[in-house]
Amino acid sequence: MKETNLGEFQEIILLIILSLDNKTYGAEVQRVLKSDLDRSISRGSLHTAFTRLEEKGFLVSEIGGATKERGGRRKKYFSVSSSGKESLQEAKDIRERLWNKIPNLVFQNI
Amino acid sequence: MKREKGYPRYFEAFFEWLCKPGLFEELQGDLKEEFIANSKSKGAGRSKWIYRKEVILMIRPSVVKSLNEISVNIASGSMFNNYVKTAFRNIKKSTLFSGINIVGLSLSMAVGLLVISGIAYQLTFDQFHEHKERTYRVITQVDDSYFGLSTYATTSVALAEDFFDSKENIDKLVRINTDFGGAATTDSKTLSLNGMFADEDFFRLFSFRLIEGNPSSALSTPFSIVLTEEVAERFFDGGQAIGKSMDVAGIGLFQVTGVVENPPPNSHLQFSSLASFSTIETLASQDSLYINHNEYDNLNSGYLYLSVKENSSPVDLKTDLEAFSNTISTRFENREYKYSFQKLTSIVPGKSMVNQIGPEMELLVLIIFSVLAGIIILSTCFNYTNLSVARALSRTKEIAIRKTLGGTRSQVFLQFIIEAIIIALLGLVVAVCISIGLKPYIYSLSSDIQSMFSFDITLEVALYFILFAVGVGVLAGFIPALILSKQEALKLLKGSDQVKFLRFLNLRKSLIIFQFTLSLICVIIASIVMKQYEFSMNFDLGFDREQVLNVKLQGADQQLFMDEFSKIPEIKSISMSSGYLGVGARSRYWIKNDDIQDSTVINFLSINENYLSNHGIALIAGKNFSEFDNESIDELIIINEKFVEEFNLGSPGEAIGEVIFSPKNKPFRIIGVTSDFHYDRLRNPIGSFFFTFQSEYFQYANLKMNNSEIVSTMEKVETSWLNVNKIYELEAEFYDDRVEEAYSFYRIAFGIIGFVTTLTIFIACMGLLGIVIYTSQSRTKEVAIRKVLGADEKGLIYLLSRSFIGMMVWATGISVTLTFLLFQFVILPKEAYKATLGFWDFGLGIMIIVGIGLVTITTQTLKVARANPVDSIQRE
Repeated sequence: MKETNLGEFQEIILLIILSLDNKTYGAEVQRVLKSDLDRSISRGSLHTAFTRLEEKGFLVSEIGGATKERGGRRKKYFSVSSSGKESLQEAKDIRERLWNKIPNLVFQNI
Repeated sequence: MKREKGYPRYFEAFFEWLCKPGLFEELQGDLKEEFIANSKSKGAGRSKWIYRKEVILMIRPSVVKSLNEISVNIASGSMFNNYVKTAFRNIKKSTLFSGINIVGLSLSMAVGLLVISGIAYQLTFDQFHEHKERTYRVITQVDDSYFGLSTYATTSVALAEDFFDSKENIDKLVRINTDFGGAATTDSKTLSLNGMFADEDFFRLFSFRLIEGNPSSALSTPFSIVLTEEVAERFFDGGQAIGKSMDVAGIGLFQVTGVVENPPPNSHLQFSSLASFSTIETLASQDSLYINHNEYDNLNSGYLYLSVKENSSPVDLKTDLEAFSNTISTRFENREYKYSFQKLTSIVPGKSMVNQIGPEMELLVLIIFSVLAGIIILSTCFNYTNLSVARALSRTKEIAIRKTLGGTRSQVFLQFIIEAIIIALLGLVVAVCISIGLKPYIYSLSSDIQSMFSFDITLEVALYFILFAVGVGVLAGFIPALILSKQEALKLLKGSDQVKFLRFLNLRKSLIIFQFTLSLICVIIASIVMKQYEFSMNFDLGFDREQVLNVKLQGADQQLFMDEFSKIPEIKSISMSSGYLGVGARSRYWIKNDDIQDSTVINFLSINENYLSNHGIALIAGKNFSEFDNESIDELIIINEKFVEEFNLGSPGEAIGEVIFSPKNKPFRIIGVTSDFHYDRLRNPIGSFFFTFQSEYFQYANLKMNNSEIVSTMEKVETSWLNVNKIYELEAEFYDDRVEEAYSFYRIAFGIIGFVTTLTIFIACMGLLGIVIYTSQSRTKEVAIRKVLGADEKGLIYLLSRSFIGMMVWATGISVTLTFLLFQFVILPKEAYKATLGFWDFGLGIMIIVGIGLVTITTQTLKVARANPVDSIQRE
């Protein structure tokens, strides 16, 4: 059974990839997670998330060229597939709908 | 890739080993990038730690290889089985080689095993005490201006009251005094008893288990005594011991308050009874033997053990004690005392000290033995390497085919290592048998060994053994495995001529020269030691010790003894003496020598009037003690000829009647002069000597026997002894046996050297065999062509053996020179009377070893020389 639900962490990863011109690699995502969201995620758990997303078909990957600062190792670039984008859109829609149902009063005293 | 400093390389390797191959490139790249970025922003140390953390966090199912993949990489089950199978096939196929390897390894491993089990046993000493971690003994270092520096295991028990009682972090404090023992009498019997005094906390400080009695009060009241199981059984024959009374001669009437388990043999405290220390305090207040037990300069028999409170360190205590030592030292003019702590567990094995309370074993001795065993084992490992590389010449095809069929380098490597380990494990089985067989032999060398080493194989020791065998296997197999797995399949298949396995021929040759030199030295030393032993045993000591049975008096009444034993018809005459001549034990006395204006130390023996005739020592002038019945006999002495010469007394006749003095002006009148004899061991020359007649010093009765039936006489001696002394068992030995005992050092040395010699010969021959096979096999083609061209067998053998014979000559030359120098300038000058070394002492051993070496060489070269040239050349 193909699971199409997005977890919170997975959604954030997809958003980060899209924000980086829809083409980026693991270490970059890890850095953004640390600097913008202040979340320390190990590269290992990030890998698990990537694998999950690829299995669901939300991410596609390609092997890139080698760079010197990586000890000559090649990068694996990830980009969000169209089904990924759809799923993001869907998640956003669901949220928007729910947001709209909240009466304004609730946020007035914050 | 460039090596980067400060990069966690091991973690990277670990990660690579762990990671699924498809993922490694990406993930490692990311980690490295992060590492580089971090080391710029956060510094090298932090970024390393982050890296390591990241690697650890990578251990998750999506990253890590499956278990299957990991084990395939090392040795999958079936592959492993295959290795074991081929190993056994190879062992079977070349029985000779495997046999030599197994026997060689097992011989040296047997030595290793003995050392391991010996050390393992040593390390169990005093480990059974519950509070061992915080228990200490107080030891004393004395710096005496006359005797120099020495360390005593004893201390002054006065420290307990004057120093330790006021200290807060002392938990338990136990004083011990070993001046306890003597004849003990119960209602039914009298037996000898020995033991020590100990404070009441003894059973709370040490974990000796009381079987009966109250551990906290058994040693509190004066004149209480606790017996060991064994002693209680002896005295009370299995009946109730507690509550019984026991009279210890010269000390007092004791009440038995407890029975304790026999102290285990691996305890440094050995006793058969414990008396309460408060007894000493009671006795000291009266006029007794113990009057100065609490003096600071009494280091004879007082010991102090203590434990510090839990979780407190003895550091402060140590500095305080040092300060206290200084105040004590100021009380003495020419002596300085320094007290210090010694941990209970480091007493055995530990430093050598004066007045040890129990068995002692120096740490250094253990280290020396381990190093020696290590050298022997390394030497055999080297031989294994040598032999298996030589043998690999015939296994090139096997390796080549393995590689062609897809075997990786690590698999071939593993195969050879496993083979070596299997051989080592087979060797272990043989080694265990050898070491068990050697045990009685080693025990028979010296009784000390028996008490210090058990050599028992416990579960722990067995585990060490297996680890040790695997270690030896890896060590021996590593180089062959490395070299053989490195070879390229194609080259191997092309033919053995192109294969240059181990090129360091010169190094290998010199190692073999070294091994042969070693074994030659051992043989020569063994034969010299044996010769010196025989020389000492057959040396004419100048007195007659044949048929003399020495009986230890042990407090028996002398007159009663004489009366009782003179009834035995086989005893010709009985004399009394304070000791033995010619065995190295001696009593000394200072005598003023007017001639050199100083006093000299002179050996003496106290004897009665029958001694001289009993031992065939001739009086050359003057009279015996028997003719001076009515004078104050302790002022008369009989001297030897050397005495006359050294004290410049003229001729023996002129010396009679001269009076000499001790430094305190006690006069001695010379009544007789004897011929010279060897009163000391042969290493020392004859010096001045005198006899006195002081019956209170007599310790032995010397029974001169007729040439008759020894066994029946001994029975009579035993019966008479029972009438003379009921407390102690008869202790009697023949003078000859005692002399033999005195020179037993040579026997022990010969025993050990003999064993080592066999071992080194074997090892050296193994090494030689390896190199001979290697060189002659790799020259088969050359030999074949020479043969075709008309060379005869003799010439070929000479050709092949030439360099090895050269090696033997080198080894012989070096070893003879070294041992000759060693004995001529280091060892023999210490012996005043020594056997002269002839050609045969060197020659015989050398001929045997060189002979064995030559046989080894010729068997192999003959094989090559006799081979049909067609077979060798056809191979091409």
